[in-house]
Amino acid sequence: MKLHTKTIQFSAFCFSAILLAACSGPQVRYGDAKEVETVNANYGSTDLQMIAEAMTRSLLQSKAISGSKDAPIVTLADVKNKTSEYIDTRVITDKIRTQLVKSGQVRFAVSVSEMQNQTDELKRQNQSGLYKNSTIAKTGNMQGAQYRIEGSIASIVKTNKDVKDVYYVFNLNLINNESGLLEWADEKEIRKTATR
Amino acid sequence: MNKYLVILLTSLTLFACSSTPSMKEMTVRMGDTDSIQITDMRSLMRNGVLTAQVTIQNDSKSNLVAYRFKWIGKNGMTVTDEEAWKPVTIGKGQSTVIMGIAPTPDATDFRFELNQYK
Repeated sequence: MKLHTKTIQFSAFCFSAILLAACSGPQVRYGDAKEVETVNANYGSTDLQMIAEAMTRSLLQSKAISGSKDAPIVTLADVKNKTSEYIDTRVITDKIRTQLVKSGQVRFAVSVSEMQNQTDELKRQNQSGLYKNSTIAKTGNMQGAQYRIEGSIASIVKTNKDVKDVYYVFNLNLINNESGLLEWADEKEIRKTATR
Repeated sequence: MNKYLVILLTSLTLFACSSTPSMKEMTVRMGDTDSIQITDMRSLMRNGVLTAQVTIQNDSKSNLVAYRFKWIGKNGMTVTDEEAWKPVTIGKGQSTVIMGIAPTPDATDFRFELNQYK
């Protein structure tokens, strides 16, 4: 009888402990978005931040941008992903664009991917007949970009039983749309090694 | 007596205004970064943008160090949000040159921040 009571008490204790653990759930806390991220050797937030920052700062110092009297108008073209990983290159170019706009040294014209929204809005204002004439954004006044930004990201990955070595190289070019001249180019290299 | 006091105060004020902060004062250390020595620090305006160059040397085996620049404007306020921490690999006894370019032409001064990362 004594043994039976002890077994019931122990079972109750175990059950309570399991119940408490199940109810407590995962611990959530906010982290520093700028912190170095080293979860694995794949492309990550630190790589994105380092690439965008290096490219923006280098571009701001270029003669094409710093030598212009007015902030030049630039548009974003494609950044090709030549790596074996899935990388959303649009996030890289958007981050570069945001930093450049915040610097006040560059103005951006809508890119090819944003053109549909721009033309839809112009059509809505000009063709729907719903708007007061004096407030309508007129067609034919869009500004063409003097330069376009395009580039690529490539990687070399080597692995063996114990080591995974990843090398990324990100290239960015500023091309004069009228002359076709390459006005500025820079690259950012990143090497990451994961060991077991 | 008053004349000497005025001269002393004026010279002290002038000295305070003209003094530039030392490399130690311009470096902000977080975590255990004592083995990383700052051996040189300089800056210039290049194409209208402040450019900084910092030389660091590692005296220990551990090389898990990250850095970032804090860019300061004329009024002492930072010109943009905080930069991301950038890891730097530096072997024992090795020194490396780190370049930083300000995000806007408004930056007139900088601080160099060092941190450990795990």
